[in-house]
Amino acid sequence: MRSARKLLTSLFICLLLCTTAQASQPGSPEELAAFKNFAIGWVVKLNKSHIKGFSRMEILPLKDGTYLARYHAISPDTVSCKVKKTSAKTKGMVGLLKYIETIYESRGKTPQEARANKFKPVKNIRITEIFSNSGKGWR
Amino acid sequence: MHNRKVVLILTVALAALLAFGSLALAESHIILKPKVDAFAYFVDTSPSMSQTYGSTGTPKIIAGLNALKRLNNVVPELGYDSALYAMPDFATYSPKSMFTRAAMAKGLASVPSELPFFQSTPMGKGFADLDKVLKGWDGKFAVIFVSDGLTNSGRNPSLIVSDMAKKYGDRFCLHIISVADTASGKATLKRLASKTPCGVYVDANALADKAVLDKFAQDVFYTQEEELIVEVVEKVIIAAPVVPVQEKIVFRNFNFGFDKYKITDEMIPALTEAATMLEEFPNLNVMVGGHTDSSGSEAYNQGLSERRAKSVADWLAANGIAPERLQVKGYGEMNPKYDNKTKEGRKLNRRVEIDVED
Repeated sequence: MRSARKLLTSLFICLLLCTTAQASQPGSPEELAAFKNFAIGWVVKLNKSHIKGFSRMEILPLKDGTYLARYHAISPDTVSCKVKKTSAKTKGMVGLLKYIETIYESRGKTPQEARANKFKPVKNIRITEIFSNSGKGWR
Repeated sequence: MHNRKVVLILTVALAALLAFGSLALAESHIILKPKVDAFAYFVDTSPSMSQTYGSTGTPKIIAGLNALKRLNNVVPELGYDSALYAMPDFATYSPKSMFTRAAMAKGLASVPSELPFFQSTPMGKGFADLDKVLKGWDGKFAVIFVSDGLTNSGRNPSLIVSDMAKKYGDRFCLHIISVADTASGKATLKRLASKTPCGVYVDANALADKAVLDKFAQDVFYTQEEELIVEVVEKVIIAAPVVPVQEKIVFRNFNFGFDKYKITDEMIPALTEAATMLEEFPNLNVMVGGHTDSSGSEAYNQGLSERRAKSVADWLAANGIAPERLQVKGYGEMNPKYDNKTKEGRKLNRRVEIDVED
């Protein structure tokens, strides 16, 4: 029992020390709020600029004479944000923006029908974007 | 007993320390924003409206009111005011007040469907009388006019509406729900709809189609925007025993400046974070891919993307990632993900992606 207590105490102290190590301290709520504002705009830009996004939906003819409609989109409910302070050497913050980019497809006898039919998700790509902020804004 | 208590406290504290974290959750809402501060339904109750609407067998006034009722059922209650008027004898069936579907439905039910037979149709006068009411309205407003477009006396309604469009500018939109079944009636109504740039013309029978109805409602009353709301939720999770899971992760957005490929001090924190994440998957290969925008020649961009990818891979190899795990590929401008025709898209295309693969 005494040795179990010693072991657990040692582990506890180690973990406490680890939480103060480089690049792992979480940012403040204000810093997270600022990053989430940036992230919201970033995700909007990604969806808007994607060459296979909703507004640039691909319509592909299939061998059986039907059509496949496809687009990529980031679902807002998959987005999460985290900010961390970096080490003392290079002062600043690191922001992690995680989201899932989903590929949606629909089929139809005509291109119009393919566009209008219900789309189903066919592939998910889990993406982490890493941003840094050394005091000049998120990049 | 005391020793057991201490062990228990330390065990719980250890578990909490392992598991403590804060999560940011995101949800999205579709926000409807009103296009107008007020609107008026304006119904033509002239004698010609008692005639049958095309081959439907239904009097035009009934067809028109039914179309308005259908529309009223899908108009969202966004805080704008509404009113219901009729012409040629100007009448108010629902005075201007905050719009509710129920109140307006009641007003529509009170519009007569039995119309006087011997009466002229001075449509121009009808709009002139409407204008006397509208000049007291602030902000933006829309008029949804239901008519067969037949006018046989008085001033030309086109001239009246033109004057209104000049006076109110982009505050005023005139929309038409047409029960016209003659070429001249349709022409008159389409001409009226064109007097305001925001005006929309639709045939009453087309509003039986839900897609057409919803589009008309959106064109007249509101815009749709998706709002992303990210909230921070503090959670304390007690960790269960960890089961190793392998998954594919793509790291992006080491955005270099134009024509640059060297690692800068600014990139170090982000690269450090990436290296930390890659260390969680020691058995997976790491593909470092460089991409450029479409500025410059293909050959130059190919070389630039290779140099960028190599810079990142070299840094990772020097900072803890086994070199044998690392593969490097330059895609140049040949694998764009974003629109190179815009400045924003070109910026997004200038990137290094790190794929973690089996």
